[in-house]
Amino acid sequence: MPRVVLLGSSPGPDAAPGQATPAALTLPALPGCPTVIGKLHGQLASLDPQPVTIVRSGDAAAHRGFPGSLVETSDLAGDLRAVADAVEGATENLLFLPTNSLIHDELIYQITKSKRGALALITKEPREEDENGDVIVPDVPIDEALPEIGDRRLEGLPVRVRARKSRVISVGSAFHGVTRPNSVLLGPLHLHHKHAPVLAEAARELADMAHLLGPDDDLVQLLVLGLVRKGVSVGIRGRRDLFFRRVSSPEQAAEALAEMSTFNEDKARLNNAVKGADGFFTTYFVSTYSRFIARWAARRGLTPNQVTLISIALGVAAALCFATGERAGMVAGGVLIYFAFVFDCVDGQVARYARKFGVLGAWLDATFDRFKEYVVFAGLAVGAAVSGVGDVWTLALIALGVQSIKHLLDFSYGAANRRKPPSPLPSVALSVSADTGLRQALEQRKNATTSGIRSLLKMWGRAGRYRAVHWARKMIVFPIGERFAAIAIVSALFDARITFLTLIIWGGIGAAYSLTGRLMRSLA
Amino acid sequence: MITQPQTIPAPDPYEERLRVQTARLLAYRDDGPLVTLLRDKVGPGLPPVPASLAALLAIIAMAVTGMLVNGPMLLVPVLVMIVLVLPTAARDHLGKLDWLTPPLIRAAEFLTIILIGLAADAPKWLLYVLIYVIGYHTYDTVYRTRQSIWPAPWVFQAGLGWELRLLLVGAGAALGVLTWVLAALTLYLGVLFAVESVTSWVGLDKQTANAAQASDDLETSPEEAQEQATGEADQT
Repeated sequence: MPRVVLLGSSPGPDAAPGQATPAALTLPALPGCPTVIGKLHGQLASLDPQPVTIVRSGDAAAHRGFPGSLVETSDLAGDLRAVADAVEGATENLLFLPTNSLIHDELIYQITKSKRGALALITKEPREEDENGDVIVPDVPIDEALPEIGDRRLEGLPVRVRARKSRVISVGSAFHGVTRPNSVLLGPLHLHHKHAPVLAEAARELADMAHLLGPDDDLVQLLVLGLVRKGVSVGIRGRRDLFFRRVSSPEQAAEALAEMSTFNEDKARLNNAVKGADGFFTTYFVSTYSRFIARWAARRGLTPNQVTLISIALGVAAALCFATGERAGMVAGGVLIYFAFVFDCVDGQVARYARKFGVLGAWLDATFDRFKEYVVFAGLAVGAAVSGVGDVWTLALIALGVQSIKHLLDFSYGAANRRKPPSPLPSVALSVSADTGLRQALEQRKNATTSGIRSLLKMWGRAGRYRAVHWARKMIVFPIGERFAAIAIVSALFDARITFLTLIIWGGIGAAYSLTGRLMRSLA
Repeated sequence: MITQPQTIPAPDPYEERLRVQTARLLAYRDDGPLVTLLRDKVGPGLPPVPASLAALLAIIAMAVTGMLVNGPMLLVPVLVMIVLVLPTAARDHLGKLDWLTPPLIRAAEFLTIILIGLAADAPKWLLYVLIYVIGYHTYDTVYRTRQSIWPAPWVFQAGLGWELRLLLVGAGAALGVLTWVLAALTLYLGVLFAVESVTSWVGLDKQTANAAQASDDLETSPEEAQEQATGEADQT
């Protein structure tokens, strides 16, 4: 469970002098007419019953009467020091949220479940387009562009962040320049506790230079600035199919709430339950509809383990059908093994959707995936002997061996890959205004590691942008979806011998392919 | 005199990761009692990857040249394995390519069992079950160490390790009682691994029922896991 830090004194869009505290706005459209901060406390109660709230004295009244502790500050330096005090020595992960956030529960959940050491919610500026809809390429290449103090605005926040594909490259402030800023940090920030000391140190340093920072600088933006300058990799994610907005006036609150109600949070939760990065067959022939079975099962109260049992039963039934060796049995076996695989995907989705994770469930799922596959091999071999196709047990033995060794290659490489020495990101002192040094150091880091093999691997990585290459690469390694599909289709149409030959040849090619890449990666 | 309070320095995260992941590689080798006994007595040992690759290739060569005929000859591939692979246990497995060792050993073990079984005309379904049972043990070791739940050391000893399993199979074939040896070995290992694995997982599930943190997917390939954790594929 994370430690929650609520930031009430974020300047920038929230600083509307003379207006009521944004967090105290009421949401009349909701049952019970809660205030923004009241709703947020309700959402966070299960995460952290004792959140820390950091607010300016003038806004403190609106934040009283809620659980947790309240820190009152008088200026930006005070805010930053209060953050440093709140996170110092944290043993839990940290979740920062502005007190005037309207946010889906599911978005809070997804952000806190992230595996990144640091993750910030951002939104990118839409790319500039000319009248034909083509992207306008800036005249000055980025290597020659100068750092700037961003003055464009997006959702009320100054655009002072440069984000690349997966992480924040540079953050600015009224004092710190950024080369080609393209995003804003919306507010939510999740941080692994190992980064807490770095954050505390950076916040204190920034507090000492608070006189250089401007009224536009958002507190979360400053915290991320400190992290990035100190070499912490801050991951990014967009809102995707969920809602987040900071509100600062009654009109905004009403508008945001109306917009929020057009989002389907349950659908977003269900979509998130489907594992990404699956193979071709799984993505197009299973994941397209398996989530609806998962939701149905979760609503019926089926546990993930019960779904796993259904899948095992289907797998064993498929093996028995294959063991008859007759054409009808082979076709029935093919259909059953397909549904065994569908339910195999569903159990994980039920677990993620219903948030019922268990050690035993993970083990059951993984172990019986193997069991289903290998019992079907045995069924096919028995069927071939019964129906007179011939003795294919030798082929079954080879298929079993090839698949087991392929898995062990995966596992072993995975273990070895995790012991590679870390390659730290560059850091630049907070007293330096320009981020040019950071950019140059990042370029150097990229170039320092460019040997022959590496550039080859990089080219190969870039080729993955093309859909055909992307899916071909996923298919060639013969992932579980493709294996079950191959067994189902080939057995239904041909016989056990051809099924085993398909498995052995495809599996062998897949093993050779991934082995080549991994050998190169190990040596690079 | 002012003395500083003594604090135990926390282990460096990188050193710790190196230690744990190397321990996992060593566990995947599935060494048994004989290797444990002789590990310290083989001097500097042999480099793991070349030696186990040589053993695998030698066994393939024996099969291709038709040397593996029923009888005492079937003990030879087993001895090749022992001579070439056992001394690799003395090494630290920190090399860039040392992750190839466990799959090479397991591949050589499976291949040897299959070749001996086919040459001695043992029931193939029995060979199939034996290989599934040994494979189950390997998968189980992987899944457990991924959840940081290490199997007790006695499991690896009781599982006999690749070397004693091969010696038993080889000796059974040489003495002409392979089917009985295979049956006994399969039954013993099957019961051992299944009972031990199920009881410890169920026990663990009860312990962690409330603090379930098992969202870690046991299935993902290394590349997928990296893609999910960093959002970028193939960046190394």
